[in-house]
Amino acid sequence: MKALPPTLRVNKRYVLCRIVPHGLNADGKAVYYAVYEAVSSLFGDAGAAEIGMSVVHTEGDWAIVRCTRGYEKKLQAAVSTVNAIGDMPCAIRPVLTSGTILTLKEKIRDAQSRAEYGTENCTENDADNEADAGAECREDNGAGNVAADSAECAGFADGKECSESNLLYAKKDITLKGISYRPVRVSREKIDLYKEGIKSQDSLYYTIKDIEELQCNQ
Amino acid sequence: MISDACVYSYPLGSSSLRRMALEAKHLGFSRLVCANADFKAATPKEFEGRTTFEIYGVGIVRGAVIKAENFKDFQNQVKKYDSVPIVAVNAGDNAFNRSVLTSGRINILRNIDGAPKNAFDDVCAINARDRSVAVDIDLAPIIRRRGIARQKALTAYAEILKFQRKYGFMLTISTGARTYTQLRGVREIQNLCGLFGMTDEETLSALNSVSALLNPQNPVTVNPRDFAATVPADASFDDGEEIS
Repeated sequence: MKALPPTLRVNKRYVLCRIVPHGLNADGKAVYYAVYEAVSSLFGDAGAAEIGMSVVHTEGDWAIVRCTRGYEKKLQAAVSTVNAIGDMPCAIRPVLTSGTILTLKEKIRDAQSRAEYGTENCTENDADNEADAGAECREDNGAGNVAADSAECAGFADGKECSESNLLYAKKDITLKGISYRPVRVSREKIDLYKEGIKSQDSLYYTIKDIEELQCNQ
Repeated sequence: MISDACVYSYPLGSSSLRRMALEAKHLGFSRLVCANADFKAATPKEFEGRTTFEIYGVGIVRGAVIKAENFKDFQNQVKKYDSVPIVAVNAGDNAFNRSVLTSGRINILRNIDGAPKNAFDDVCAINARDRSVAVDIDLAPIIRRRGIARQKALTAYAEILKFQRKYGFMLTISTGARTYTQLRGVREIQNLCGLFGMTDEETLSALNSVSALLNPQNPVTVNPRDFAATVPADASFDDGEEIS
């Protein structure tokens, strides 16, 4: 079929989405299937065809999803109902809508550079800055894959990302109520723990303060 | 204050209360109602014994969810939660809902989507308005369920919204999150509530209604004695001579 001339083509919008928990490193195909399932189950086949969803770019914890202009809200509502990508429970949070992919890619770059700036300051353990730090550290692109064997996260190699006490938590297994958990990602104050059993896997999301408290009580 | 009316933290969920508060702050919330049955286990040590406190600038309020089979069961259970600021009850049949709403001991009627079809009617709506009881819209069925279960929830919430527009009782919105990834941002909630016809303003008002539950508007009472005491005994403004 002959392509439509540019003036007759349908206008598109691009939605920047963030995938949480971080470090999932889901590929574009898996994100597409997850979002498509959410869209078609919420709006049906006709609605999904109207929305015209497709995943055009993924980069770390970020994904850019395309839709027909005027259907951004519907797409965002559908994206909010995503519970898992593949077998991994997660959420996709719509962040920004734009008319060009370039703008969103710039936003991703901005966020990543801010994350680097934020992580350089991560050695400060000032209690007052902790809440702000949460937002900054959330921007970082931890490479600690849940499925990966390594417990290291991005920036650990050069010692920038986390303070020394946090490094200690990242290197050793943490025992809570007699169960040993492996830290898969440690940022300034957040720590994600993972336990892989024969029958089931278990993830726990804590802060360093929580771990300290729990270990003191044991 | 934008609030999530029901979350479950560790040990019921997989995220600690601190981690949830951190995420909630990032998502634009300023208060979370933690509905863990064992609130002591969920509370960080430094706030032990308190029902309201603040973590990372996010207010945490103790909540309780009562699942009762009948009104008698409810009465037995509600005694335990006298000191809890937010008490929610899972809706049941119509008679149960009417009794619970008029009991004056609850703040939120929740799980409307799981109740029978005619469980919430105009009488319940009037009772809810008069007793300042909010009806909860739980987003968990919309987010986590698929197919007929989600359709039923959307229908139930659309019906509640119609009653709310006519009778003006309060609505609350909750995510029922058990991990921080299940929390949703304000704009996401607006989009999800838009699915059953709720406007953005209505959603924001519903997100703010936990404040109204915590600080209910009671009628103003004036004690005549206090009023009399404020007038000085030697007041001379009613002295006819001075005016002339």
